[in-house]
Amino acid sequence: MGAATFPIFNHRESLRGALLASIIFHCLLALSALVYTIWGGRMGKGWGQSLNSGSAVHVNAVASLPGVPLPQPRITTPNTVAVQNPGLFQNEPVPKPPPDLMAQKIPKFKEAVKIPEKKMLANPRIQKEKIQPPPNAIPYGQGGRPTMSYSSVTTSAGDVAIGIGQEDFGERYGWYVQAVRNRISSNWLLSTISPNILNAPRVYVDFDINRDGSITNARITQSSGIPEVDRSALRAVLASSPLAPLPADYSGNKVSVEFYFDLRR
Amino acid sequence: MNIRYVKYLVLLSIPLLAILAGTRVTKSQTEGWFRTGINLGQSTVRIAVPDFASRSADPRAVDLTKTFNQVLWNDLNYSGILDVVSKSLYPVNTPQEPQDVDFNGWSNPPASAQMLAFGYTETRGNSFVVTARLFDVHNPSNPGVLAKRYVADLNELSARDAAHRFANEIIQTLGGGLPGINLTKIAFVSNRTGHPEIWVMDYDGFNQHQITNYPSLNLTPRWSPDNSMLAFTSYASGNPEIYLYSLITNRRIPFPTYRGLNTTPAFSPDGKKIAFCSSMSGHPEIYLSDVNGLGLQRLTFSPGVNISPVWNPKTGNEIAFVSDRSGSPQIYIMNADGTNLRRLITAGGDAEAPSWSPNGLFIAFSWSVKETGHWDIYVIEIATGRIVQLTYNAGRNEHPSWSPDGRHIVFESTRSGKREVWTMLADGSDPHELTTAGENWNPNWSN
Repeated sequence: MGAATFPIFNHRESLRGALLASIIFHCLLALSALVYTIWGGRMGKGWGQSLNSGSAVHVNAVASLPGVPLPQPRITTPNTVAVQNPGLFQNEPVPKPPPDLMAQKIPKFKEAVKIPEKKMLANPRIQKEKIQPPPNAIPYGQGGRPTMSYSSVTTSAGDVAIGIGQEDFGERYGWYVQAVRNRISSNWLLSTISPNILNAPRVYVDFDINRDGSITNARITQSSGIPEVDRSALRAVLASSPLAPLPADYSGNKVSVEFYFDLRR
Repeated sequence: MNIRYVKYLVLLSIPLLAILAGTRVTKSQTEGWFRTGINLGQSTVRIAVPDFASRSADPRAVDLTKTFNQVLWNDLNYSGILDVVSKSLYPVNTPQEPQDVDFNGWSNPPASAQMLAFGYTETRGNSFVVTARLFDVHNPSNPGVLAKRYVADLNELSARDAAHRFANEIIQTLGGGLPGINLTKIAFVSNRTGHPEIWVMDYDGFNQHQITNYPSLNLTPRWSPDNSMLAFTSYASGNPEIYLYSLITNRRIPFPTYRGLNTTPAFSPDGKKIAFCSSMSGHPEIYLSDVNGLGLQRLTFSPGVNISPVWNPKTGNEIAFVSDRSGSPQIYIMNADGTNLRRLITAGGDAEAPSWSPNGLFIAFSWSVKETGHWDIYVIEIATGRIVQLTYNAGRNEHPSWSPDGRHIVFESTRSGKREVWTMLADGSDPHELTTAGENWNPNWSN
């Protein structure tokens, strides 16, 4: 009796109510998560999705626009400039620093230091070919202006810059395209197609024109579904070989052509 | 198990992605490409040909420049693929150098030209030098299509030759690779000297000159495939025989003589054989022989006349000829060894003088339909038997012969009053009379 009694320690409180509340709360939590996954996704867009799609800006990188007088980049030093850009060709990989031998314990025995061999992760049977850049390759940012298929064209409508790798043969040599079209259409003999075929889906024929004008690799890429129309189209292309030689100032060795035939009569 | 499956899927998808990426790369790395098609509203190329200016005051050079301009204009106008813009629609300034060209003036109406051929002439020493260019005036930043310099002699033939060569270049470039015919020649028979002799002229009728001088009958000239020889029928010895004549040495080349009628020789496309008509065995039949006269072989076996063989120039495997085995002259086709004989035209009338088109698809011939009795030039498409009439109500038209580009036909016609040599486009339009002196007939276009 002498000992002080603290009723709070002796009071045995029932945990049932709290447990029940906790269970109900968790059930509600799970239910709300479930409801959100079922219904929430249908309302509006999810996170991270653009709400106003289609406003993306398409950027074509060109060295300079003819209309905009940007200062020419001064080439001040022939030294290699560090650039973030990976460049046109793969650079030589930077060699990893050799393992710091000094940090290792010098072994007691006078044996060669055994550096643990790196475990090969990749399949050793597949040898990765090392890409050798050609001797005249200039890494990005270290040369002058690109001398690839890059051109700016002045048309009657204004100046047009044609980007790298998109040199439009048809734009530049429209007369050649027209000559090809006229020659092939003059060799397309509708009389070889039976007269009750009045029209047919387009036949697409792809071929290459070599430097000397000869046609190679002619093949039907999309059939019309009517064999005689396909044959007449392919025959028209093959009968037109050789075409006129490619334009003298065109730098490439060949031109790929996608040609279609529309039968309507 | 599940995880391993996913791993395989990933491993499998890597090469697939690589292939896809690879195809994209190869497509974009080809050095240029274009896409075009047929049924886009075809139009012939409109070309403007302003007169070339003479930079030399030498009266001979001025005259030659005039000739050059005239010939160039005619060649382009008669090419069949170009639409030459009338000179009255040209801008005032006639360009001579590339910097003179007013692109808008030429490409906008009224000229509305797509191509522009221009340049100038000058004399250098004893040479007549022509600097000629072809521009695409729709593409001012990159207009140059052709740039040529021709060094000719100070005479008309040479100046005409320069004009023909430049026209040929333009036609080959804008026509899709088929060479022009401006340097080709036409052989024909003319009696202007009193006897029918073999003559040769340029394709436009200029430079007519006599080849044979046998005071007798000379007929049916045919060119060899390399244009170095003419084969024809000559009565010089009294008997109709096959003569070969070299245009390089201007001498006769020996060919065997046979009994009876020997006529209508035709070189095979490889130039190694000659098919001809001979009655050595009684009836006129088609024979085949090497050019040197060896290897004689008879191809037809039928009573009646078999004459006028002509080879398929594309394959060299077929011969068309005229036979009256059905009662009237009709055109038949057989293989070059005499097999697979069939009649070409099933309709009646008299059909003669077949000429096989260079692409092997058509035969031009002269035909007298029973109903009218008029002789006209027709073209038949061999595969389908479709027949197109090229001449109408214009005298008697016979002996067609195709140009090597397949766009022109030369023939003889009496429409001007007497038998003369005419040319026309292969659709029958734009007839031109080439000869006027005496009577001229039996033309054959060189290769």
